[in-house]
Amino acid sequence: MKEAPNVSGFDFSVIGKGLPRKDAWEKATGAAQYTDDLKLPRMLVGKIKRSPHAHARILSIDTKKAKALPGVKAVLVGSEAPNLYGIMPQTPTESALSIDKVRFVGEGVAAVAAVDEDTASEALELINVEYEPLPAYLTPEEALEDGAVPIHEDKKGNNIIYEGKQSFGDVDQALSRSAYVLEKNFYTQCVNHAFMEPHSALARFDEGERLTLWSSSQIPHYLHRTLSLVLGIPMQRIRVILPTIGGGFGGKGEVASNELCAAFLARRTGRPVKITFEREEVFFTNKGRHPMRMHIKVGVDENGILQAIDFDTLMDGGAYLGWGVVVMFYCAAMLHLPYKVPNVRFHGMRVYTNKPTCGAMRGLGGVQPRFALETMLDEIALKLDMSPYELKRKNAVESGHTTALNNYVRHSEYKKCLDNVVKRSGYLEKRGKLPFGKGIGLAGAHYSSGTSYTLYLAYKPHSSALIRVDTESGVSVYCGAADIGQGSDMVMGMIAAETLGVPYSDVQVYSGDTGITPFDLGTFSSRVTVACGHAVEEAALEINKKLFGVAAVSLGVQGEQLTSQNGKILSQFEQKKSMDFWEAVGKYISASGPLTATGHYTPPRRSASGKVQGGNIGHAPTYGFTAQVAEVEVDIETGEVRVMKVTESGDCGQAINPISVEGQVEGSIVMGMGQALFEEMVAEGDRVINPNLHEYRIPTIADMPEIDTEIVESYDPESPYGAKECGEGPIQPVIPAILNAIYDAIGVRFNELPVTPEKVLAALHERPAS
Amino acid sequence: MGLPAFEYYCPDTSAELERLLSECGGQAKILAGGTDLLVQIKGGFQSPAVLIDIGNLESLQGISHKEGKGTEILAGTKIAAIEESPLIREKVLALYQAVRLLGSPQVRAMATLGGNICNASPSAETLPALIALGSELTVAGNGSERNLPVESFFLDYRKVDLGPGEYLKSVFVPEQSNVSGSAYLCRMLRGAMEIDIVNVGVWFLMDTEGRCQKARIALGSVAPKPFRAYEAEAVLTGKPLSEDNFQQAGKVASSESSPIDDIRGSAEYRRDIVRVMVARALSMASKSLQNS
Amino acid sequence: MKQVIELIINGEPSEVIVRPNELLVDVIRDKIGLTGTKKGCGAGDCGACTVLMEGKPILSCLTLAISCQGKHIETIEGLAKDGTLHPLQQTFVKKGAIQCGYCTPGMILSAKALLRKTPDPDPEDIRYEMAGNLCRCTGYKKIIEAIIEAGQGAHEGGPERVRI
Repeated sequence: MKEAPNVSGFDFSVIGKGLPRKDAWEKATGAAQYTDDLKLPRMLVGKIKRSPHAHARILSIDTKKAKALPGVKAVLVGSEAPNLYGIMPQTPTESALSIDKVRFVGEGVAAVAAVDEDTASEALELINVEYEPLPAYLTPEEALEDGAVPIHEDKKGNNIIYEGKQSFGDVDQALSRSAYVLEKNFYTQCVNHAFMEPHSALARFDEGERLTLWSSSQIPHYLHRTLSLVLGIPMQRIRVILPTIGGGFGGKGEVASNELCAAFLARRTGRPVKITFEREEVFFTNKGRHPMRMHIKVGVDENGILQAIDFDTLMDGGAYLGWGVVVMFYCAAMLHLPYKVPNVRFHGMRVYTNKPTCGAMRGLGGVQPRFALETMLDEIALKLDMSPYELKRKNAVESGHTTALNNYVRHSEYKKCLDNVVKRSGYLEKRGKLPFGKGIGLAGAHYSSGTSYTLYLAYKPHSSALIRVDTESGVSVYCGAADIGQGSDMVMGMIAAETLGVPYSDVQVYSGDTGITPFDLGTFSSRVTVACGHAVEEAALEINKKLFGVAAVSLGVQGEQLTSQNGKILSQFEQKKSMDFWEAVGKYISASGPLTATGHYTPPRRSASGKVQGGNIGHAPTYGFTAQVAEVEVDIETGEVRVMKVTESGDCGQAINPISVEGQVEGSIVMGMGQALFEEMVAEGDRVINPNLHEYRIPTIADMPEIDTEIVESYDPESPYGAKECGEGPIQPVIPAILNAIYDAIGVRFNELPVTPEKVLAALHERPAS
Repeated sequence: MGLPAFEYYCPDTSAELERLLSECGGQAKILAGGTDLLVQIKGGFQSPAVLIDIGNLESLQGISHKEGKGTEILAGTKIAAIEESPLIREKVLALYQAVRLLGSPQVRAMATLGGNICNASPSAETLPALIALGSELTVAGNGSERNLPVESFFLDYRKVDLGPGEYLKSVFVPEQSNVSGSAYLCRMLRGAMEIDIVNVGVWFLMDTEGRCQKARIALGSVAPKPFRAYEAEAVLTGKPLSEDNFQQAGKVASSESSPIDDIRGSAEYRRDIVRVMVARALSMASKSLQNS
Repeated sequence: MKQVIELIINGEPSEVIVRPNELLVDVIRDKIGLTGTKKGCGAGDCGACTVLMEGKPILSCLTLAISCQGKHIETIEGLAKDGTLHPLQQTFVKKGAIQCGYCTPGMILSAKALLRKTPDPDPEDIRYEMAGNLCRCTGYKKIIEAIIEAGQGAHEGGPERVRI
């Protein structure tokens, strides 16, 4: 069994062990039930008719023929589901189906429920929609032109969704005093999460207008709330259940139209309705990574100490709001770390275009600026005749740093990550010394482990957990966290087991069911391990307290001197004074009734002399760090780039389960490599032309580099068992590490993604012969 | 994603196949592996009223070799069977190299050589290899058979020389002499499951002085159909097999190609890659000759 | 023109009525009820629907059910025998090669076909033979490790058997 390094001094029996996941067994045997695997009696199949126009007014929708088709049970159009929603509830822009107007090719205009898929498909063909086409804008620049038709008419006459400004310190002065200023432009493409399981939702209405919705979602709570808003029924009559989820990466972090349409159609027909997306529809629903144009200035002093970052971006938002403004301010906040930057200015504009909406994707807000900044720092270091490692190390944050944005970094082992990765990869020995065509590159990054803000004003705890212990079912942990494949159920189970001193196998975790699990905001912002972990630990400590009361009397010791270990409750000072955990449980229940406890967690808010806290995204309780070295080989005749090896060192605090941490890191590296080299949702004419997994190329096993990861010794004393995030930080440095390596290989800096062989070859041709 | 309705037949004998083909006229499509055709039907690019499944036709499956003559591969032979055949690896190396780069293991287990040929995708892997090797096709139907060189089978973009009632029966690859070299290469944007940017098959025969006596260079993905780069072949003929000449042939082949811009790459880039890949394939073929 | 066909799924014959245009993946999932076979793309691009037909990995989303008359088909549900996981299932679980699990059934079946052909594969064999199965979670590293270990197990008489 694999073990994580442990610097806490505590002798863990469960934490830090590479235990196999409980859900892996049912996934390996095919027994796991994903939403599309569920079948209910009398279940209907729903399908959505989609717009062939990128931008058009809907003049009429004729559903008569479709309704008359035998086997069709209901047809829904947008005007019948008029309540607008959005993941940011203050500014709803979306509807279950488009009303009056379509804004991208593939937008839903009508939905049907029928006895089978063929009938539903046939019914879609019979729905006649009359459109009046409007000019379509595929780039923010087009959408911003004078006289452009507003994509959303409620806006102030232009297509700017939001313009964000932040300024900390005196950037102009700092830049003018900098010994060296580098100014560059960058572009990142639109990428899709490409999780393997397409969205699927199954809705059932029961007597008394009670809705149960099974769905492939990462946000059961926001889905719950949105269903209530859009359907107009109280939340108390809705239950959201997450079956096994086949990946999300942020893409299931918003309500999707299939969830709403299935619910409407189920209500109308009185029968269960399931809507599962085709892969093409997953691309239409998108909510992937925003394309960003970035104009950046970075100033350093003569020693390479960072003086200022001036950052300007134009974000291509697609047709709706989605997570857009959050992504913008996350991007703004990302500029302040993982280096000490005294002066930072951000200006961002998110613009509507007639394409599928962009939203949250793994590492949201960070991947684009990190790509730019880490390659700029590489360039600056070489200009100053300094190793990029040295420059990054000099500027790296340490525990206790407060950013200009007033974010407090309570714990950082970033320097350790840099040192470790450089040593393990041989970076210093190789950089600048490899033959032409071979190169090595370094990049580092951080990510927040959640945030203190909620998407709507609320003061309730962000995560809560309930633990029930009895001699019949053992330890049952109930939490609202959504296990989307990352393994949060296992993390929660391990935290409960460690705290209660019982084997992990005695703990059962129930999650992601708003009917039985207590409140949780959901899986996003890398918040779950810290937030839900705190809640579970607190509940488990409360259980211990109750049991220690029983044991204290039995053993004749003071309760405070007791501890739970290896299935026993024992005195910390005299180990022979012990009693069996389950005996104590039995005695407690006999004497006092059911043994349950709750725990909850809200990230701390900070204030400091009137300064903004965390700049519109809230304060993150803690941060994970990572450093990576990529090694590439460039075929200088064809432009093909092969990533040969990626070495990673990560500070995720104490790893709860090192195998799962490695899994997150390895998956992030290959996903990041996909964005660096292959992936792009390409829009041409009036539409995305590659909404499939053939022309949207995610890496295959044949493309993966050799990957060598190491978890550095780390423990955040304020986190549950010292743990921090590891699911979103590790994707941040992948792209710049690869691009810095390409520079080392061929002397060309690429500022636009993806770096295709064609771009590489063109750059090699343009390169002055040296 | 369902399929529209169609009639389905699964003949057990070639005679039954011929009868069905003549009865259905142009309404029918032959279903071999289905990896191209069913994707086309799902996408609405084709909507045949009748599918004739040749999966049960054992008479259309198999690989045989006649010493001194060549290798015959029946059209219904699975790509995986070609890949796994020691005979193909030994006798028809360029085809082995091509099928290794075709799709994925699942696609190779399903798809057939005949399907890859008749689907006539400009980027089909086997075609440049077969053309370069000087292969011949046997087309059967309506009670007779005819033979033709593989390159003349392709009329235009995804259009092949199959009349009503006809089907592709077999592919014949002539015996390679021990003074001939061949190779297949392609460029993909990722490591597997790709539509190629460029694919190249080359073959040459060496004379007693070590010069190129005869050459065939076939290109895919850079024109509406796979084709032979005759001018590039002429560059090599009568010349020593040298890197310089390979580079020169690559340049000429590049000017003979007529690629388009698409999502996978621009015409200009493809022309560049033709030059590189032709030279590399020739070099690879020449090495295979030296090693044999 | 519906037709009755017999499929031998995981060794058990099943008679099903199919229309010519029904796909094998839908018949396996909806008519036989074995939902371990997944649909990820419907176009042969992801490999989630992989099953073994006569021992070979095929894409059930691009196979007409009607063309499978009398064929032996193995799905993920057929791998565990007598309450014991197949060595590949064991090593996938143990090595952490499973995250969201959606690609896992297809992945394990492709790996089974690979091990039949190459019982002790090296990473290059695995990169070649597993290239038709996409995974977005794991980065593939632990999948390679799991297959290698299962292959070694086959040599050494199998890894420790786990009772279900």
